[in-house]
Amino acid sequence: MEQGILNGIPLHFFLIVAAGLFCIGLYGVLGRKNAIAMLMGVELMLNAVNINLIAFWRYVRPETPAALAFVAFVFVVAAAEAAVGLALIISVYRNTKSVDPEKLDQMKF
Amino acid sequence: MTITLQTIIFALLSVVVLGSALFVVTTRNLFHAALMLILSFFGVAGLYVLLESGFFAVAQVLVYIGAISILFIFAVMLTRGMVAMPRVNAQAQLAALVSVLLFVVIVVIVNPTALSIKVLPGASERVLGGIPWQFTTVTTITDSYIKQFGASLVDGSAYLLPFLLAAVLLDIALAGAVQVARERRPAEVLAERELMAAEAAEEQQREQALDTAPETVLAADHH
Amino acid sequence: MMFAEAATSNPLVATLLWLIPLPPILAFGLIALFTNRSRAATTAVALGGMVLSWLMSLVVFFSVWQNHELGQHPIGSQFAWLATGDTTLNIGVVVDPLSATFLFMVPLAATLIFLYSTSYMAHETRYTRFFAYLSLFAGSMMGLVVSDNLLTLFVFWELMGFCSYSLIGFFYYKESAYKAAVKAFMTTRVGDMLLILGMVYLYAMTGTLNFHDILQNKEVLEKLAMTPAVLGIGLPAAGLIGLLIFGGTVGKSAQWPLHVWLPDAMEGPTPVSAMIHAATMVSAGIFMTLRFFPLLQAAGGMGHEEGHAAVNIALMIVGVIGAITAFMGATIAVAQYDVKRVLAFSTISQLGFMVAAIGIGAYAAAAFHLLTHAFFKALLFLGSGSVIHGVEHGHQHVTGHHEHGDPAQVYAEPIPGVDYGHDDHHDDAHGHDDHHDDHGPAFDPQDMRNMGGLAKRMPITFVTFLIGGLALAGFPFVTAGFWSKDEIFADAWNHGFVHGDLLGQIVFITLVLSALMTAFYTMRQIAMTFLGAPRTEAAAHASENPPAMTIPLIVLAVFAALIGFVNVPKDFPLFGAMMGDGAGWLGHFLGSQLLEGAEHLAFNPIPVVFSLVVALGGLGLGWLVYGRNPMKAGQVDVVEKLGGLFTFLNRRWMWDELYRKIFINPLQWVADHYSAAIDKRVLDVVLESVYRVGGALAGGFKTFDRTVVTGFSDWVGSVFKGAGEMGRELQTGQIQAYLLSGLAMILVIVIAFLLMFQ
Repeated sequence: MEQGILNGIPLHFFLIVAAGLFCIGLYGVLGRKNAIAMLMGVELMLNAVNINLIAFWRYVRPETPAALAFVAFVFVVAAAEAAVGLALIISVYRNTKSVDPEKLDQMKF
Repeated sequence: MTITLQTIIFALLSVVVLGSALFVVTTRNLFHAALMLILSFFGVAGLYVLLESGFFAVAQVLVYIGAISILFIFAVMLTRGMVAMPRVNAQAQLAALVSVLLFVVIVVIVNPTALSIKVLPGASERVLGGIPWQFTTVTTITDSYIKQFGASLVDGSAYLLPFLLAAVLLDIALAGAVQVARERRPAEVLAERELMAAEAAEEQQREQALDTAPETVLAADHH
Repeated sequence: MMFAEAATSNPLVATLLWLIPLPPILAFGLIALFTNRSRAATTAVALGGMVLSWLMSLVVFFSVWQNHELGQHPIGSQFAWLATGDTTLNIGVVVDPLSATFLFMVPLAATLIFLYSTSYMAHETRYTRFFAYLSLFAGSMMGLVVSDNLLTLFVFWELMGFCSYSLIGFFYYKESAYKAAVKAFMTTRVGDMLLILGMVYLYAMTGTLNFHDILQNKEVLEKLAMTPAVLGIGLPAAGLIGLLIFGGTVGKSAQWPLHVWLPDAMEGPTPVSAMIHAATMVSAGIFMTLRFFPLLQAAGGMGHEEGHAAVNIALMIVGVIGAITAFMGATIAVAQYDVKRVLAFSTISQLGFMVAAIGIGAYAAAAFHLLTHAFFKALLFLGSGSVIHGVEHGHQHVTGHHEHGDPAQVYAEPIPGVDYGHDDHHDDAHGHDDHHDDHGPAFDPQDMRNMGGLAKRMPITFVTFLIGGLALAGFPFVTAGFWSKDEIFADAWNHGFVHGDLLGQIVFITLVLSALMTAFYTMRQIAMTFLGAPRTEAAAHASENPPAMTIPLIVLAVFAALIGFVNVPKDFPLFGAMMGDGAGWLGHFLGSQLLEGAEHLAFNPIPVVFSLVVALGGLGLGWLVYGRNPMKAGQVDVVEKLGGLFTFLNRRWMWDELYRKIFINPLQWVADHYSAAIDKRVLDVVLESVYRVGGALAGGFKTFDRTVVTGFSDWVGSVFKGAGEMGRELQTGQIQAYLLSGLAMILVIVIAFLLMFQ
């Protein structure tokens, strides 16, 4: 079997990197005080997901394009979500002059 | 495990991705964060290249870096004026803990060390369903994977419908974002402000009533 | 012994018997609840109910009057009502000769009185209430007549007592009226207590209260005759029971010593006096004693082995009481001025006749006299009401005054023996309480001295009253009173002088004297009321009454004259033959009820002579004294010349004063002192301390309730509230917090999942 370009990189390396990226993004979502920073964290998480998907596709089932379709859709959704989310943040900023998610607590008891 | 050139390239790319990501989530300066985000995306694109999916590497650059990051920069510009803002919120430490814990769990599942095998025998099988993940060798792929992918996107029995739905989603998102973030004319702004003020006043009244005579308020709510 | 077979033999009669008391009782209910605002409706309902009952009674009577078996096999029906261990108390209805006779007489008299009342009470504002009570009364009387057992008889007896109380006290706003009502109730109560005792004793001895089962059952009567009475006073059980039951009669039928209520009962409206005190209630007492005659008779020992020499103490007591009552009543009636009081005492006297007749064993004669008396006494009372009405209208005509309520009653004389509390009662010639008049001495339309000459002004009343009076006096041959009184005399003579029984002798002599006085005071009354010239302006302007009042008078007069012919003795000269097979019908009819049958008396002219002498003599004497030279206005009554004797008679032999002294005053004293001593000192203290304890207990409970109970429930509430508030804190509205908590939870679950399956 030819080794090709991925000679020497076991699958789990990618998975660990993706996991790390995911967790970093997670920290950004949970621990940041700025809504835009939160969204940045979300984008990082989505990227991690993509890495996972493509890695699995490449190592496990490279012959089917199913995973790639999934990846494509993740791209699309990430873009749409980023657009809408940022629009919302801008609108909120205009009205309340703040992008602190902690201040947006109208849903409290 | 042999260390090849690919391994080193991989290591470098990983460092870029993770490092810039770390910077993104820890910096106070949002503009710097956006730029570091771009760097991270680049690193991810490189990883895609390494995974022999050049299409997606290019897509990544086009979409994420070319569009989303620009959006972020716009947003950062439009929401200026935040000075002396703390970086992290109250639960940041807990969040960090949870993140680390999650990372550990995933790593354990994905790459069990001798220790974790002792502690969690069979965890990987249970989670991954017996897929032999310890791939060290891969099969080669042909270049027609893109063709296959493209064909599947327009194939009625494959992913045509999701494809179309995704298009619709983008349309809606576009329209929605435009409407939500639209610049308002002063009159509009004033009307909106009045409405908001009225709602705020009503809310305050409600708060007061709740403090003094909760029953009437709750009863009124039932209607 | 069930009447199942008898009931099926004539189911119509049995059904009607159940229905007879209902229409008047239902009328009472309807009037009281629904029609009490409408006079027309009330009149229709009351009269309709009574007429219905009367018609049903007539149907029953004419179904059974020729039934010769009726005495021994009464028709009726029963059902089991109260199961008490081994025995069952049955109640039901029955018709036997005695009650059939009553079924003829009572509803007829009652219907006529109802009709009369529609006119007499027309001015009364509480007209509908009057008819309600009257209907209830009539229904109770019918119920009493058709009862086949002592229990339901007693129930209706008491119900009539209540109605009597209500009706005597109808003009409750007058002190004399309500006091009279209470007096009537209390006095008859004494009698009723004795009756209850008798009832209980009877039930204890026999296990039943059914008339047929006790009184026509040889074994039961023998047993009761042989067993000595509980008190060991020398009487057999039958005697004591009979006397106790007779005690009820003494009360209800106003015999001495419980006669004192009847004169005062004249405070009620006149139709009430006629109904209650002539036709029905007082008759009920005699009716009951007649029913229990076999029991009283058995007290003398069963069978004829002992012959007439056996001394029947019970019957002797009955006879003596009757004789005393007859004599007393007659003597007092001579000295009364109030037209209704004369009749009241006359009633007492005549009832005494009946009781005395029972005492000497003249069962049929007593029942016969009861029948005739009901008619002519009702007639006399209604006539007196007509007279009073007429004189009152004459008075209005003259003075322009109009009194509300029964006009006569407003001026009634004070009742002797009654303590009015405010002043000593005046006893001037008019005998009235001169408080509430602002126009000089009050006019009493009931006082005979204010009447006179009414024969010309009220002819129908005069003629009918005359017929009734003659019947009362026993005018020969053409009045019913003659035949019934003569029968009693015949029986008394037979017992007393033919058979030599002491009781019979006493009874005969007493009754003869009483009959003499009866005729005398009757003529006195007629003369003072109707003959001569009017003594007052009111009498001069009196007028005859409307037909609703005169028609009953006429009907009753016909009966008073002719009803006597139902029991002409068979071998009476001329009349016996005239009656042919119908002679002595009533005697046979009633006599068939007795186990031993009626003793057939041979005709004896001596009692007849006595009857004639006494009746004509008394009437003649009365005519001599009062009729020939009628009293003029302001003239003092001849009778007053008797001086002290007159006062004694006029004050009713002073019985009321005596009872007040013996019974009422001591009780009053005890009541007063009891209240002060025991009530206040003992009972109040006890109650007070109970109250305090209760209060302390309540206070303790209150504290407990407040602290523990309320505190606990408050605490529970606060726990939930606190929990809720704690839970509330989770909803911070912080997105990142939600996300973190969700993620942490997932992590925990995953780790647990991994660790779980080792």
